[in-house]
Amino acid sequence: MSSNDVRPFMLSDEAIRRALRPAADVVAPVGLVGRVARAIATNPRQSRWPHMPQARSRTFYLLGQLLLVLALLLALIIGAIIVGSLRERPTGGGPVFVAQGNELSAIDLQTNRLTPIVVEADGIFGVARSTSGEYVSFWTGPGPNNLVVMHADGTDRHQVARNLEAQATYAGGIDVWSSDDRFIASGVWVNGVQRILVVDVSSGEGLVIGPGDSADSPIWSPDSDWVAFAHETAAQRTIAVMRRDGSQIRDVTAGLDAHVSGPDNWSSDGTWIYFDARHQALQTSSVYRVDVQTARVEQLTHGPAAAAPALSPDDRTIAFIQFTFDGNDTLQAVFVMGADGSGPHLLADRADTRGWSSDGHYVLVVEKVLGQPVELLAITPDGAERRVLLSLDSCPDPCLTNISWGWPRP
Amino acid sequence: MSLLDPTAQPIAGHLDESSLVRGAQAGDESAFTLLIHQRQHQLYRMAWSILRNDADALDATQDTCIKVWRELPQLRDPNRFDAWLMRTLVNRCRDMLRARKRSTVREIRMADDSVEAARPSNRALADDLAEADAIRQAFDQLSADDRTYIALHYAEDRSIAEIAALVGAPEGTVKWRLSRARLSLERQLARQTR
Repeated sequence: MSSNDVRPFMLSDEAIRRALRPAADVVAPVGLVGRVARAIATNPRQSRWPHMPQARSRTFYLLGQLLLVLALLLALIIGAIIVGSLRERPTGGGPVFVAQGNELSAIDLQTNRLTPIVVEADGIFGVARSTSGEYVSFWTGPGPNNLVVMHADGTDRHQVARNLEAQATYAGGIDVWSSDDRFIASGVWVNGVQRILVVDVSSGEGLVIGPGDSADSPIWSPDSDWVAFAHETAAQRTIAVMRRDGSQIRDVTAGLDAHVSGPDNWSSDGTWIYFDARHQALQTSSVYRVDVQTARVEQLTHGPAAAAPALSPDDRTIAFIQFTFDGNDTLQAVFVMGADGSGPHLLADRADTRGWSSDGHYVLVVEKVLGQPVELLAITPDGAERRVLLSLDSCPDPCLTNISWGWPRP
Repeated sequence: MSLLDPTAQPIAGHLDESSLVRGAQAGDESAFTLLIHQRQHQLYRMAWSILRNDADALDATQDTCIKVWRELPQLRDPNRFDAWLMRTLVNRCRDMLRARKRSTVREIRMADDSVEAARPSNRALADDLAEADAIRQAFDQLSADDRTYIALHYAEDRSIAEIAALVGAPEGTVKWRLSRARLSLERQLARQTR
């Protein structure tokens, strides 16, 4: 562990609150509403000519649009040439599903095309592609309270878990499909408590399971019989497992002196659960794995702070993020290493991981370099091939989190 | 009651909020002004918590209101008005912080000198007031994102779930980022007192 990872100062919550809470006399100054009223009276709603209210500017705007169309045509021609050269490359195991705002789209690596699938008036949250790629699920509002499943092409859209007596509300995590596409697990709020919703996809019936205090961040065992989840009590946050019906709950990291984030992947032979945790005494985060049967924990990273392990579908490689402090700021990069923690090496700087493609060929990465467009990349674990799936001029944090490629991700 | 009178009491109880939002969407400036009037202190305090500057908080609040007015017809569900308004404000504050960082490189260096000069001793830190002052100085040096997460949680008392809704992130991500922001605050504090 580097000295930069040591927690240098122990501040109490109360001390921070006392220092930063605005005084009681911090109120909107007199005249604020009047200024707003005057401003909106002189600020017309956006017209066909956004940000271009004057006639002369419209001409420039039209010229700009024309140039944009020409650039798009050029890009299409170049794209067609590239697509021709990519036909033999891996497809990633089917499309990547990305939701931005209220639109769900699919990105096909074979054609390099982004296809809109569905628009939901109340927004789209917690997108999860099934392992085979046949289905996709998401939450939508108002609430957002409704869990929806449909075919990957947008047909047969239907709400599931309608049989629940108590309302289950999406808790903001990442939903996970079982490896056989039969079940979905989702973290939900029920009567003010975080619990796990398990949905049988064929019947559409939902079942709320988990201990009565708190359960979130579920993942499936490879045989779909068990669910691992983060179990939080007043004293500790651990990883626990339970059967699909909620029985036989058992903590598996209770002996670890660390605050776990949650289970990230369960190895395909059923032996290991990979996760990250913040060590209580050292105050740094590391990647770990725990043997589910024996509760033996192995620490896999020992250097700078590391988190968000994503195990490849073949169980051989872990992609994770590593944090370093350069004296001014915390830098975040994506690294890969062997499943036993061996041979860590840099994959993408200034980046965050979104897990693996379901065929294990690519790591999905969001790269954010200051002054450059934010890019969603598919990168082979050896770094030899980088494919740009999306390029955005701006993408405020947290950026491109509503993504699923059919493999559980941190 | 004049809608422009800042001392006037809100009349939320007499009007259906959704109707007000729908009216504002249709172009009713009075309805929109009333919506803002009811929320002005909450908006301003949240902006102030993040920016810690009267003028910037005022600008952020005003900019947010104008942006929301212009884009209001795009809001499909009137019940989500508050969430959308607060989210727009938080994003505006973060943008202002980033712009502030870009445009005040020299000032940052000068500020470092002043921090050096006014560096509180370990003994002084034992005093609550000095500690609070040091925390505020450290907070001012944080990145835009770190400031936002710290301000929302500690100054505004927003829960993890509320912050997740405000910034549009999973709760796990918010927990991690908040933890990282707090560590940055503590590191900055350590640097000041070194």
